[in-house]
Parts: sequence; structure tokens; C-alpha cells
Amino acid sequence: MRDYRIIGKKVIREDGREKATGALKYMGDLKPEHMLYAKLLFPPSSRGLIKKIDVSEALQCPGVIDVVTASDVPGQNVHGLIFKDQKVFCEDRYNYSGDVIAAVVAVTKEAAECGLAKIRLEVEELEPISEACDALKPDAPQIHPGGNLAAHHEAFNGDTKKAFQDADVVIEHIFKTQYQEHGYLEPENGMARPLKDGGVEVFCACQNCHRCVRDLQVILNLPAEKIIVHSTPIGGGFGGKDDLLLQGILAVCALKCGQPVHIDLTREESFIIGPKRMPMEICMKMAADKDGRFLANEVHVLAACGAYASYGPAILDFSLEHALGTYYFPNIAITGDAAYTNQYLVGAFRGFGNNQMNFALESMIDMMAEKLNMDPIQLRVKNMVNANERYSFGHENKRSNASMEMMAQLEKSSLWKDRSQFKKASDRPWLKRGVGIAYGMQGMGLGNHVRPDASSCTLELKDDGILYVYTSNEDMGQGSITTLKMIAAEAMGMGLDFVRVINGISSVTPDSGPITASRTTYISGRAIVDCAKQLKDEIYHFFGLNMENTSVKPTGIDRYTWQEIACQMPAALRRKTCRTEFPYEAVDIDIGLHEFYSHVAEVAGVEVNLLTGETKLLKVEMITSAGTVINPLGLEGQCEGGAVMSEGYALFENFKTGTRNFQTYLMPVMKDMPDIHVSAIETAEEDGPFGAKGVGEVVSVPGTAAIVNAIYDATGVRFTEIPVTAQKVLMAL
Amino acid sequence: MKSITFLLNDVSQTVEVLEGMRAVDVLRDIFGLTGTKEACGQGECGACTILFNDAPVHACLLLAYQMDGASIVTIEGLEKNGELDIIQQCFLEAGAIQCGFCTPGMIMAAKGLLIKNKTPDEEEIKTAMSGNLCRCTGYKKIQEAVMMASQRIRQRSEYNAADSVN
Repeated sequence: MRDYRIIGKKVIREDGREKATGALKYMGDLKPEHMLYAKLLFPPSSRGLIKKIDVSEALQCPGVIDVVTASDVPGQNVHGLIFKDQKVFCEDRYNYSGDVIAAVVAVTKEAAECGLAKIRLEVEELEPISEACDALKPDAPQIHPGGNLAAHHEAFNGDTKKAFQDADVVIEHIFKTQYQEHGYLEPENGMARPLKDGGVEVFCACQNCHRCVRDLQVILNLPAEKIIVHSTPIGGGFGGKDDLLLQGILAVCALKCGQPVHIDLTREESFIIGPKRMPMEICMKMAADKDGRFLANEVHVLAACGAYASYGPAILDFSLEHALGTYYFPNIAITGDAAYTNQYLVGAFRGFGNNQMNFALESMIDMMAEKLNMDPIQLRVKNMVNANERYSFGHENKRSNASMEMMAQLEKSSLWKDRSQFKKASDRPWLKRGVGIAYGMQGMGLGNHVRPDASSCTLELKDDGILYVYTSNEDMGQGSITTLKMIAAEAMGMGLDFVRVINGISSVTPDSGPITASRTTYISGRAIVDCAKQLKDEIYHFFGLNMENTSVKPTGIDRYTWQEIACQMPAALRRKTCRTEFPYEAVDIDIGLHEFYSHVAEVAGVEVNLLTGETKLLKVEMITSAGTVINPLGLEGQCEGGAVMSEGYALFENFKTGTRNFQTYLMPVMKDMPDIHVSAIETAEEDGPFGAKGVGEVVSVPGTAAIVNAIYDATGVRFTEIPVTAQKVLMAL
Repeated sequence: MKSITFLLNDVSQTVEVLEGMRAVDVLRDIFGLTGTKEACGQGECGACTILFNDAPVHACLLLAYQMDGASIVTIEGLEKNGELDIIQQCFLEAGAIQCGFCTPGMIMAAKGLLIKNKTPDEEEIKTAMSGNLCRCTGYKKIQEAVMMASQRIRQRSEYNAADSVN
């Protein structure tokens, strides 16, 4: 790997100081003068018809300014990430308990609450559909006009039937996964204020401010230039702040009331309204010959898509793409259905459907290894798609991929190598230890089904010699500001002190696309590198410098400081905008594929208490391959956070009826934290910025299977349903 | 309405508060100290942790009138003359901050711990900090930051002690 000046160094995050001092204003901290407060009316059940909304008494409450409902939406009362199937305010029906029927706007929070209690709502409650399997029964009531099937995807190759007949070993299991709550610490909140020109300015955490503007244009019937969305900072997102949740409500309220309006959801409201990780039932049937060569994989997924499409169809699609992992199966039959239910909203969540599938796939491979009496690492290595070979779906593995090195390193990791020692170290007979591995890869970007997947960025050398990087990509904690700043500084040859990043303001920052799909570092980083090249070329040209024999220093180029350069060059020459797109390979298939992937190999060490059933995750070793590491602090932070998030998913997190707060939704705390060791194999991604790819999601993927495989190793019990709670363990023993 | 007087970040303050008003509302809405975050309102996440007479408490569970006569320190009170508290500095250097929403509460919980126990071991840090939720970091770097801070505080007091002897 090349030796870079800034890339690869531990850099303290750009927004760290104002976060450490509490000075940073999140959207819920903004309190302009004459601000009003809104409280939202949610339905009394999860499915029903709205017969009447009587707001007359609510309007009599002291301090109540207005009650806003569907009839107040100036434009079309629709939004939705894939299908426009959601309403800002319900009209004649509601489909989940987080649908919003009305907003009471008042001078204080208390007055709004008082008004809320005075709304007389008449509904006809309808039998809700809770499970995906019930939704697809022929006599099931229809949640949406088009029926309850939100999406179906399939891909076939070869002859699985024959493969199963001829195989030496065939195994088949059904895996079930639960709803997982994002659990970001910042509940959804925000503020909107009317503008003098009849427009509106919205301050609300969101993972794509430009898409938010496009949605608001339709809802408000306003031209884009009259809508400004501020979408950053974000107090945690993980995909859960991708949906348009409050922005439409805030904007409609502010425009109707003519004053700034603020909404701050309580944790309970956030839990009700926010999307969850898609629960899946995965049937997997896998065949291998006696030498351990995989012959076939037949996979069927039934997923609960929730009340609206949100990203559900894409999550199913992504999940199916990852049903084969990085392994080659000559015969495949991959099918999946996602069905609407009235249970919660289901949406994007770090891993995007891969976490569920990887749990199934990597559990199956361990089971297969046991049947074949083979080492689980050797079985995986034997079936991995090598560089320049084709995956089972037909696309080529032609880009950065270090699977073999990763597996070699996994084998040498102390926890795996010394696993018998680790297992013996338990000092009580009822504490059983086990070690498990898993391997995961995650597609980068939105994939073949969503093209073009583009990012635009602008670089501007301002008069004071400071380079401004304009990108819409928000910082939700993942560190995009710092990462993109480092990339810009490296690409320009500048000192970090000379670079500022402006992000998440729709009127100022160009459309860099969503902060999803582990795409930001790669695609926006690339746009920045392109801009920097153009800007530097312009400087060389303007000053008549020759690139070969001109020195670039952190403080300037040749004999000029950055400020001198800025002073002498016309402003127009100092501003460059570049747009860049994800590459893709066209493959005629119903499943959206990705051009390249990031990878994680993980080994987990657990201790199961046979008396209480409780599993403790003691140790995790994580080997990543995500291209060049831009900022090791950022990489480690992502890995450690991902490991602990998958620990919660594997062992206890479960969002179900009655979950309303952190007492009923348990997330890992510091005491649950394992000893985590992270390493990176930096195989550069050729056209990535300095060889980088994304790493934000894949780090949350293989942990679940590694833990469940470790529990098997400890107890001899194979769990195919997560979370593996203490109760489940006790029942099974 | 009730009048309360308390020390807020070393400055004496007197305010009229409504009965039933919570400390977190007084800090955020009356004093504009929005560094104290509310993320659950039920004492389950620790994002609103402040120091009440040097002990970490949840400002969402503390009633405003209970602050009467007390010394309250919020995250805004840690930085002195533009210089970060050692704990804040260690959070930065260790990479213990991601989205930042739990950070003020985490730092205040750590402050409370280190006032009481200057030499906590890993387990003591885990116990003291397990009332604070973080969804981003996986806690490792937060624990490291607290450990780093405790070492630096010790070094500094040893240095100061040596200095005063001389």
C-alpha cells in the first residue's frame, strides 16, 4: 500500500469537540423565537377506518393554535421511499399504530398535550394482520389496493432437484429472525419554519436531504427552490432516519400556522413510529458432495414488510442476493416474498437484510461442516469464489477481494487457534464456553436495481485560502465529515487545517445521494478526488506550473500559499463540481447485484450459563477487508459498534407488542461488551478514493452467526431462531 | 410556582419553576443548556446525566425543586477557560464519540465516577457506566477513554503534589 500523508492516520473526528462539550445543536435543540410545539395523534390500534375526527374541543384548549390533519396538506398527501404508499396524515384509514392522524399545535408542549387529549376520534377497528404468512392467505383482508404481496424476487440456475438427489449430504433448516429496533439515542425530532417567500425551512435529521426536498415538493406543492432542508447532525441513524417521518408533518404545520413548529418525540413515540429491522423466515436447503464441494442451495424467504413498502422490497432483494454469500453453488433456486402486515413499519437498518440471511447461511455452513466432518474454515475456503471467477448469479468477482487472506488470518487468530484453551478457561462446571466463526460480505452502493447511484460534490477554494467541501452526505455518527475531509486534504495535498466540510443543507450542498448502503466513503470520496484533480489542474494551468516539478505542500503549491492562490485566481476557476456514479455490470437477473463487496470474517467466544441460560459474549476477533482504511479510529469504532449491535440481535433484542421503552427493549450496555480485537486487510479497491470502500454495515453482519455457532460449540444445541435468549437456552437444554 | 436557588456550573442561579417541572426542562428550556440530552425521559438511557452535588443523576428523574440548594454541573460546566476537561479530551483522543448524542451523559457519568474513585479498574468502569446507553461505539472506546482519563488525572495530581512539596 502507498504511504499517504493523511490517509491511514488516526484523526480525531471533526465534530468531536462540540459533541464533547455539548455545544453542538441537534435539531431538537433549536428553539427560535415564537416557536410552537406539536404533539401527534396516533391511532388506537394497528388497523382501522377513521370515521370522524372532531377537533372542536381541542381547539378550545388554552394555548392550542391549531389542529392539523390530512385536509391541510397543500399538495399531494403521499410519500414513500419505493412506492408512494404512505400519507403525511391519515385520511380514511390507518395501517399501523405509528400512522399519524393529526398534529395539535400549541404555544407550549403541555397545551399541545391537553389539546391532544381533547380530540374526539371515531374509528372502526379492523382485525390487524400480524404475520407475513397470514397476509398471503387467499382470504386475508387487503392492506393496500394492490394486495398484500409487497415484493417477490427469484433467481434460478442449474437443477437443484437433481443436485439434491445426487448429493452426499443434504441439510435443510428454517431460520427465524425478529424485529430489531434501531435504538439510536436521539429520538426523531425537528423544527420547521415558514419563509418570507412562501417557502419553508425544515431542520430534521434525515439520511438524504435532497430526497427529502423532492418529497416535500409533492406534499407542499412548492417548487424545490422554496424548500430548504437541514438534515445534519444526526444523533444516530443506522438506516432508521431514511424514511420521511416528521419532515412532512413539520412543514405542513409550519406553513399552516405561519410560525416555527417543533416536534420532539418521546422514546415511546419514537418506538411506535420508527422503522424496524425486517423479520424473516428463511428456509434453506443445502447440498454438498463428500469432499465438501457445495452443490446446491435452495432458499426461500418470507419477510414481513410492515405496514408500508418503505425500503422493504429492496431489503428482500438485497437479502436474496446475499443468500449465497461469497460461496459458489452450481445449482441455485432463490425465491422470496415480502408481505404487508399491520405490525410496525419495516425499513432500512444497517446490513439491509443481510444480517438475517447471513445468520441462516453461516449457521448452515457450520452444520454442513459437522456433517462432513470437516474444519469449518476449510469448508468455507474450499467453496469461496476466487478472484476473477463468477458468482453463482453470474456476475464476476473482478474487484478487490481478500477472502483467502482473511480466512488465513482467521485461522491464525488467537481465539480460534487457542480455542481449546479458551474453552477450558471457564472455572465453573455450569459455565460452558464455545467458539464460533462466520464470514460476511456486503454489497457496496444501491446495486444494479437502483441506477444511477451517483454522488455530486463541490470543492471551492475560498478567498481566505480555505478549501470548502460541499457534500449533502450527513454525519449520523459514522464520521462522514472527517472521512471526506481527510480524502479532500490528501487529494489536494493540503493540510487538514485548510479544509472545511459543509454538509446536509439542501440549498447549499449538491446532491450526494443517501447516507446508506455503505456508499459514502467510496462514491462521495471519489467525487471529491475528481474535483481535487480538476482544481489542482486549474491552479497549475493558471500559474503556468508544471505538475512534474512543482512541489505541493500542506500550506500551498510551489511558492504560493493557498491564500495567495485564492487571491490571484478568479472565483469561478476555484470552484469545481464533479458527479460520479457507481460502476455496475449488467446481468439479466431478477435479483439486484452489486459490482463489489466489503468483507468481514469474525470469530466469537461465548460463555453459556447452564443454570440461568444466559449467554455472555466474551471475546470477538474481527478481520475486515474494506479497502484502504481512511481513518483507523473510524474503522475501529464502526467494527466495535457493529460487533455489539450484532450481539444484541443474536442474544436478546426483540421488538414485540408492548415494547415501549428501554426497559422493555433491552440493548447491550457496557457490561455486555466483549473484548474486541479488530484488524484490517487493506486490499485497495482500484477506483475507490485512495483504494477505500465502505465498512459501516458489513461489521454488523457476521456477528450473529458467529455467536450462534459459538453457542452450539458450547452447548451442543443448534438455535435457528434469534434472539437466543436465556429462556430459549434453558428450554433447549 | 416555586423559587429555587442553586449553583449551576459554579454560578448561583435563582429561578421560578412550576411544580412537577423536571430538572432537564429547567436546564434545557430555561437556561438553554441543551448539552444535556433527553433520550428516554425515564431514567433508562443516561443521556441526561448531570452532577448533583458531585454525584451523577438522571436529570429527567430529578424534579426541579430538588435542585434547590444543590450544586449542579452540566456538560457545559466542564470546559474551563477554553480548556477541555481531561475526560472530554480523552473521549476525543480515544475515538469514544460517534453520533455524540450519548456523549454528554457518558462524560458526566465518567466525571461522577472519577470524583468518587480516582483509580477505577475495568470492571468498576463497566459497572459505573452501564446505566448509559450508546448505540454507536460498542462501548470499548468509551471504557478506554475513562481509563485514559483516570491515568492522566492521577499523573496530574502526582505532578501537582510533587510541585507543592517543592
